[in-house]
Amino acid sequence: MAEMALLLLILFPFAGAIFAASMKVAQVARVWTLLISFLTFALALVVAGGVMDKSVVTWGTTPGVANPLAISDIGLAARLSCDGISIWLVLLTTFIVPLVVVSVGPAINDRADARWFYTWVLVLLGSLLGAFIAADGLLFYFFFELTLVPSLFMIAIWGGADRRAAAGRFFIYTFAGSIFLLIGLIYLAAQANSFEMSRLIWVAQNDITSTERWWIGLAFLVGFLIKTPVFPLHSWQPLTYAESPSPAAALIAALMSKLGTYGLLRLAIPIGFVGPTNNGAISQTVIVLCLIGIVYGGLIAWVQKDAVRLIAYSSLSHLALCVLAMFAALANNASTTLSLQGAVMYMIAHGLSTAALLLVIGAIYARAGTRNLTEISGLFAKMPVLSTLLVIFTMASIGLPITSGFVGEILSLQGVLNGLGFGVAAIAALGMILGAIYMLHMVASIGFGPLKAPAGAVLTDATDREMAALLPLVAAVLALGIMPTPVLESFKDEVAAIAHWSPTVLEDNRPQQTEEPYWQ
Amino acid sequence: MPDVFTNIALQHYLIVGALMFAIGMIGFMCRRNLIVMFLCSELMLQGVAINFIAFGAFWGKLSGQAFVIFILAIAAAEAALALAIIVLLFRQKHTVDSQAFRELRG
Amino acid sequence: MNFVIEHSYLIPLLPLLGALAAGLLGAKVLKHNSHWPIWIGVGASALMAIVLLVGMLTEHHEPGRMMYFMSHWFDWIVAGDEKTGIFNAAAGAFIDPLTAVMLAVVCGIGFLITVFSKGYMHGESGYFRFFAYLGLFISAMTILVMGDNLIMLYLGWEGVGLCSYLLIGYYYEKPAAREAAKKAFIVNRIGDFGFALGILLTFYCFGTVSFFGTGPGSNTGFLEKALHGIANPGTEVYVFWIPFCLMLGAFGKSAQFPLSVWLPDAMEGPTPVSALIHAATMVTAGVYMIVRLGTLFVGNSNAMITIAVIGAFTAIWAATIALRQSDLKKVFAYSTVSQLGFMFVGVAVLAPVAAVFHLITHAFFKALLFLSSGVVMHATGGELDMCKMSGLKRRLPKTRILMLIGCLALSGFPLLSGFWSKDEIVHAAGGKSLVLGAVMLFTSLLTAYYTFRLYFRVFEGPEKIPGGDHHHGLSQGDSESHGPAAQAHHNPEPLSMMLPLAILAIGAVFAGVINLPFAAGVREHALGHFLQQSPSFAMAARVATAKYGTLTDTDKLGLGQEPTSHVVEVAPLVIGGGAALIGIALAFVLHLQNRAKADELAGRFGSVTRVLDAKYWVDEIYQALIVEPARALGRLFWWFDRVIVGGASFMIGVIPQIGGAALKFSTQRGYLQGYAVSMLACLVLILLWMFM
Repeated sequence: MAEMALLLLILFPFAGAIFAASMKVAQVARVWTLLISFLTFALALVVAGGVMDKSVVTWGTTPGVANPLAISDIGLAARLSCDGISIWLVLLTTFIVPLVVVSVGPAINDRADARWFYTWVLVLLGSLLGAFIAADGLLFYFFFELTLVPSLFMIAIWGGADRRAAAGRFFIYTFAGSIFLLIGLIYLAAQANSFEMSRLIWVAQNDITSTERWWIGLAFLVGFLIKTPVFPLHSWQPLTYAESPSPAAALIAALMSKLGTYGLLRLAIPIGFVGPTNNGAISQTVIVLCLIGIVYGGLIAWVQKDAVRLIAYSSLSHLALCVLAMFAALANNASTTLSLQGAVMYMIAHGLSTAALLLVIGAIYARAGTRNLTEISGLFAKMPVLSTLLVIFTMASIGLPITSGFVGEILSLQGVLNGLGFGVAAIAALGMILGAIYMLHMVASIGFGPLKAPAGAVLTDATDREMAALLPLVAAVLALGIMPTPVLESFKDEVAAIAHWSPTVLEDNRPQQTEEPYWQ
Repeated sequence: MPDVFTNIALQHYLIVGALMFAIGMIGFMCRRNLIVMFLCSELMLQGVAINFIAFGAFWGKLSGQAFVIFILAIAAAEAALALAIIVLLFRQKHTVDSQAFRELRG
Repeated sequence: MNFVIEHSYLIPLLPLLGALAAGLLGAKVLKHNSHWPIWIGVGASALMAIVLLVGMLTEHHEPGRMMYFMSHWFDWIVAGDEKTGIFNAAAGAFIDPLTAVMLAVVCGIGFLITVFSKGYMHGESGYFRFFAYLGLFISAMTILVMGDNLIMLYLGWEGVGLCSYLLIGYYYEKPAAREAAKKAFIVNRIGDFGFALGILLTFYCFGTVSFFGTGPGSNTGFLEKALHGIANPGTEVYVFWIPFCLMLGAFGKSAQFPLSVWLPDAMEGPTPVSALIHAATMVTAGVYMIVRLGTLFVGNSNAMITIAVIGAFTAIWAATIALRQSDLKKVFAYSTVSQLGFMFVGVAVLAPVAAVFHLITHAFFKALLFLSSGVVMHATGGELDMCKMSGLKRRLPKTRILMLIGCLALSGFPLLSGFWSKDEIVHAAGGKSLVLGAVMLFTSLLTAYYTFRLYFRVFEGPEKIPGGDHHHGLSQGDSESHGPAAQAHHNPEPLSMMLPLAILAIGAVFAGVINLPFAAGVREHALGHFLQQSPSFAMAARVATAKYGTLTDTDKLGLGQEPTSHVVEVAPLVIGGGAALIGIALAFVLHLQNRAKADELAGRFGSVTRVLDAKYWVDEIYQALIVEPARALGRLFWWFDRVIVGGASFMIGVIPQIGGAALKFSTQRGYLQGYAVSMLACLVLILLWMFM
């Protein structure tokens, strides 16, 4: 049941997208998209049930049983697997996408091409889910790249004034990064005779020379760090966030950036940075880049005038801590589990709060016609509910206790301290201060002070549609903040295994070679 | 009659083909009149065609002739197309000097 | 009492539910009945707190036995494995005498202030919002004092910070309030940075964040591990730094130099907020933290000296600024900073009992003073500048008496509450270092002087009431002056506002009874004896004994231990009282008898007054040395980001384009013959290459 649901999780959104594209009336396409995304969420819950039972749900990976969806000539097969880490990203994705669909406003709904927007949302949903549950390297890469297509269209068609440039830069920059990923993947697969992820990891840890491992590790790292993004590979991000329509910005910021951190955790770290030949120099470089990113992103966010750019730079600062925690996990045993639990929690928390913030800013933008912090202020007087939500999500973003952000932040920082020492942790913790400074700067500028808005702005409070999109996010942020333990527990063993280097154990599980390698 | 005039061997055909090709090529490179240039390119084509025929006869195979029929058909189509284009170009500028159409460069 | 301990979660939960009810239903349903859910919630919590306190007081006390109750609510954050240590932050309460005392103060005074607020905030458009924030605040504050681990403490800590932010920014349309709120949060956040690092280091060193683990004696809490010196191998060097990190948090929350800048600005909030949050409860959280974690601090003499120096410096520094402030609430704000400095000195000179004692008495009289100045503000149409008013005693007779009581208590007038508590600190400080004692004594004198300067200026002398008949002019733009018509026709001193004040005044007069140096109805040093049973105090005393060998009587008293002799030392009491009387007398001469003389004196020391008026330019120095450079750095980074980082990625895209363009202009020139020649040349080259 859960196995089947796993396969449907990918097929469903794509099938839905085909139908959505054929629906002439925007409202019908909208309802259809909502229906499909809710059903996908239901499917994700079914899979989650399976994960709770068996700790991992797989499809098409049973040894000895032929995979019905395979191109054996190139060693590719639709191997799917969902464990304690994946399931949270799947749940995050399927949870956020319906809310984003609900939040889509008249700016898109009233256009003749609105159904295409919904089509692309479903395609993005399907490809994100595909990437999160792929157990095959090439399949992962395929979905990883496929996410670019819908986001490209969403930015280039429904974006702001500078949308073409933004779409181009976004596409080419992130695409260029994943070329390295593909090269590394193919090279490794050539050694491994398969694209199966666990096999790739085994081969990377055991069968290749340390020079090869250095290059492959670097290639994977570059691909994922661009997607995350981490300083200094982030130039695509502010422009992309600023020019995307707000639902697309929420999807890109909350979910697509998680592809980067997820890929780091799932592939880059075990392939390149675990164990005796752990490429310490690269790890240290990444750690330094993350520390720079935390302070650099925070300070730049502070001087931004555009609220969305501010959030873009805040993401740069926040996700640097997430990546830092991942690399701190490799430093020593006393930090591994804590760091990685913190990092995964931080990914979820960042997804929730960033999506929520971008949706709130989008709602304000739809009314005031501007996001420039110098042009609007005192909106609390006219829209108390939206402003209150803005404050709540701000607090979640800066990691106030009982919000999800706090759990991720404190555990990540604890991991960083245990792994990398007090100095690094102290610099990383500067993000706490900077976060408060720039986020409160934004809230104070938008929400408080004398009322100011451009002429002609209709400053109504949150509509039912917006409340329906935002209240579940409030609930999720608080629920994860108050009861994080079951969540942390559900991926405790998986994260510990990621940083685990034990060739002998894996030797016994070495997969049987059944497929003819394609290069012979 | 010397032998060379009575016994026409393969190399004679090849020499003619090569000459036609060379004349065509030199013409193509030296003349600017589009029609002449086109004629020169046809000349080169026919030089190649002679080679095909000669080798076909030499080996006793029909494939050479088959190729030439293809070439003739294509050359005819080409001629129709190319001359039509030249006429259109002439209408634009009232000249068929190739230099006049430099702006057509990529 | 057993009910309270069993259901201790109700103490934070009830105000929280009240806040939710007020916040969600207030705007549409409850409107100006929004105070009810808060009254009920906070009232019930206050009742529970009092029951708890009384229950614990009447519990049979055996010397040397610790009294504590633990209550586990649910597992909050559990992470990590055997290798990293289990990071276990349980949501749970640790209830000991210290918690009971703090809870009684927080909920009791909190309740009085919510009662007062009904009349004070009447007719405000954000009425429900105010009460919702207030409920949320009390909920967070109870969590702060009840939490049994650092993470719970941090939760309360951040929660009160958030409420403080929201309440300072209550009049959100005023830019000053907005900026003050932001400043309060950010400055606190700088402290929290230290606090968080302290938490991380604690877990790093001791492998737990729980104060007492499964209970004192089990060696599972970090306080006990610190007591016995059990740290994770290799981390001993960091144990030394934990108090310094935590201290930063305490200094931020309790507005000690150099993180004190937010508190005076916080007076932009409504006056009940200033009374509750910025005088009586939240700002004392730093003192509570250091007392609670005393075991970590007491053994670290460097940390103790740092706290003493910062506390004493803040006390005298803020007192000198208060000398020249003319805004009532600003005077009290600087006074609060100064009094908090006293409490820190108390903690630092091994007298946490005195610090808690002063915390309690200060909560009473400072809340009284703030609320009274709120009444003044009401009566004068939002005016708080004491230069513009005089002789208000006829218009506000009851308030005048209440204010007088508060001022006497604050200045340490003999036999009032402030006298006893302040004197204990000065005495203990003098016992450690004469210089420190002298500084504190001089600060007491300054305190008495600026307090009575305010009192004489505002209530005595010729009558001058600002805005009495022309509210409109003065009250514009100030939301706290609630429609002038309401004041003109209504009694400025309604019962609902006077009753809480009267209770606070009784506290301000008699609260000293709880820790008198001699038996008078209650036993001598009753508070000390009660707090002695708190594991925090008991362990701190053990650390102190281990560190300093035998303790002096002052130290024993300060730590809640039984002194060797029971002789009451009269000399410090006389000196302390004398200082207060001198201060009051000076104020009497300069600000009632001969105000012109005071102005002339101020003129004669022009440079000094300028420095004081400018508050030592601390804000300006911050702005110039920290804020502006940081922003400039931000702008520089932004430039760097656009031009260098963005430019570099742009260049990577541009280089192939440049190459293509170069090729295009060099080869694609449109000469048909040229193309033919280059084709031929290439063909020849290929042929050559093939046949050579």
